[in-house]
Amino acid sequence: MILDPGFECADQQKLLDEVIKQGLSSLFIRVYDHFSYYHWRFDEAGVDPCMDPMDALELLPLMTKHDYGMLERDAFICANKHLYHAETTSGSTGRPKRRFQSLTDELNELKLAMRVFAGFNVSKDDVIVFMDVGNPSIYIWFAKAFENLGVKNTIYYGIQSDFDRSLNKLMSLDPTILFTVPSLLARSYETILRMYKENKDTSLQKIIYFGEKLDDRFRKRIEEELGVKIFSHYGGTETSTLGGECSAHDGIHVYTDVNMPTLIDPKVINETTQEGEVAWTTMQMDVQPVIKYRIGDVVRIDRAKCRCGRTSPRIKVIGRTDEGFSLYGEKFYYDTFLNTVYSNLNETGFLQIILSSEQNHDKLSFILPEKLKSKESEILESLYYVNELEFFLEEGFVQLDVQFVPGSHFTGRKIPCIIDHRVYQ
Amino acid sequence: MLDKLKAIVDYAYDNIPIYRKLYQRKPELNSIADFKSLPYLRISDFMTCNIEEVISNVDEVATILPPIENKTIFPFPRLESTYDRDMRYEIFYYLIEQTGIKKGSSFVVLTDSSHSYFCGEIVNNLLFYKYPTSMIFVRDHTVDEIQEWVSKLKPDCLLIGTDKIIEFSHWEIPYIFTINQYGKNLSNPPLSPFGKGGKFNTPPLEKGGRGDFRPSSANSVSTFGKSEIIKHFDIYAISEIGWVAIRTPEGHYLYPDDYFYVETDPTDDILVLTTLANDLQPFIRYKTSDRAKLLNGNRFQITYIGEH
Repeated sequence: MILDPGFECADQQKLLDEVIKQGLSSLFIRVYDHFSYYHWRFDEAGVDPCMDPMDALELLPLMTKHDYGMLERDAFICANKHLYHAETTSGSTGRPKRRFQSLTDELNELKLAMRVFAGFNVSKDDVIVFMDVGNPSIYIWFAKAFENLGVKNTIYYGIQSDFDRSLNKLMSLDPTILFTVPSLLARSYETILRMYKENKDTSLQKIIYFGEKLDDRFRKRIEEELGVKIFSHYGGTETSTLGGECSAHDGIHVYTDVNMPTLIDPKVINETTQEGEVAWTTMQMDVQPVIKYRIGDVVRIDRAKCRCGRTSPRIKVIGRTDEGFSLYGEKFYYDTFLNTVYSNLNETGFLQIILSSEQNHDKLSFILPEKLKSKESEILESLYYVNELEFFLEEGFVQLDVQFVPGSHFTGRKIPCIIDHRVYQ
Repeated sequence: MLDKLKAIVDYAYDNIPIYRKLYQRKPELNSIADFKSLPYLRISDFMTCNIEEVISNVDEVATILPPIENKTIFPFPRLESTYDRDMRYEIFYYLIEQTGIKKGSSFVVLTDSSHSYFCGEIVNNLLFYKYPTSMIFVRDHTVDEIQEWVSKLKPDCLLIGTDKIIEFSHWEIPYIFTINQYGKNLSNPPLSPFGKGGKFNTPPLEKGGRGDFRPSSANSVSTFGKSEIIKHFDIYAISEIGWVAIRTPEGHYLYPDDYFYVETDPTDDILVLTTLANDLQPFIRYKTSDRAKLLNGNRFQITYIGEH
């Protein structure tokens, strides 16, 4: 594969001086004029949007998920007749968190997705099957990126929790690439493995995953048992695509000419590698850009040149800050559930969430003070209707469980808000 | 019905600037005739508005229904609150119920890059109601290639959401769904809207117009396996409103009258729609670009689909 010397294997310092700084300056000037949130933040931090962009980036505060909500109204109004699409998540306050997009966003994001997918060494003869349980909109967008790379055959394959029945036509499609989310892959894996053992003459070569972390042990098992290469697509609702693995499988390439990572309190690992919570600045996002936005990932960044020839930094996601988790690729936030439990009760209080894997589903256990036991049915009802959770519950992909414990459980020591015992994480 | 119409008009006037501009003062509705004296809402009214003037509350925008095709002359996307989205799901359920297909029937949706987001929403709805559904992206495939992919999935129902596939010879799929193909009824044996021996004549295909799901040539008539009984359902949809009605093999379009109040403009037979279950962006006496004849009950017959 030939890499673009202007970007993919460019000298990073040159890229910073000639592309990134311009991108940041243009972003800062634009957002200062269009967003009351940024105007306030820039003024508060004493940042002139026309100053040196690297100094400005250093001075600007980190942006939280709560801050993100403050962008929505301005972004929506600013998009006006250019509004094209919206991405939503469960939201950190119970209301869906929204990212509005223009057609320019769609095209810019497609361009980046194409760069990322090119790293997966796809061929025009590949047959790509997107396997999921619900809304196919993100896969439509992936399909468009693959189409632009010349891939002809892309099929969205919607499945249900009865995997034996749902997956029975997968063998007929005989994909060369399976594209899905790790939790669904984990849930359906025994069925998939059995089918591939029974059908030796198949073409599957690669699995691409996104939306969640894939446990290293599970990854190795899939690679060995199915004889496939695994690639990761990395991104977020608020940032869109950020990067992807290459055939060297030594981290996720992120494209700093488009999205700039900032590490919070970085820890130096070696000469080229640092570790810390990452915050992203999106330079090509048209309607709703973010500056130093905390998506909740703790990463290790290696800036050394990759064996594949790319010079772009590579990251490995090594953890999550504990405010959120993912179910079948859908992001949920601790605050969503906390607010849901307590808003109807007109109270405030404690909550711990424990995630675990059962045979064919995830289990979501809510640990609450025993004084709320009399309100169990009200709590369950309100949890049931949390945005996007209802679908997973109805389809049997997720099971809810509420447990009541003495109040001392919450006050006696510092406990984590979320404990994730799921094996595929 | 009057109470529902009054409620939606009052709500729209109180909460949505475009209606205050249009009506000038709060309408007093004491009869259906009063309602029918309200001015039509037209696309041109939207052209002069900013986005926050056409909805009740920016903070309630939860979803955007993609247009049927990437290009649309309506200046805004279809904006929905979570309530509106739920209502759209209910309308979809109503439409599917009219077909009589079995619960759990499997679907394959054929789409292309122009229509894929709208078709994706249909897939989303089908999966929600537990119809196993796959979607194939049609590119420069031949008909035979697409048929091969479809045959691998062996669906009970096929939804054609692309204008790239116009031949279905020998596909042997009993239920065919299309979108805005009012002029084409592939049901075999064919049925007229008035039953056997009825007087209605299917209008000829007209080129252009919204959706562009129709074949580019009026001569490109699809054929099916001769011995198969085919049921062809056509979904009538508008980008700015969503799906509205479904044509059964009998030939008329059925719409849920709990969700729509349907009229036609007597001067030009243009279909005029009022949405009864939208809170973010209700359409009141919205003059579409499509012509129809109203039939008894909650039925109409489309005679032309214009450009949106």
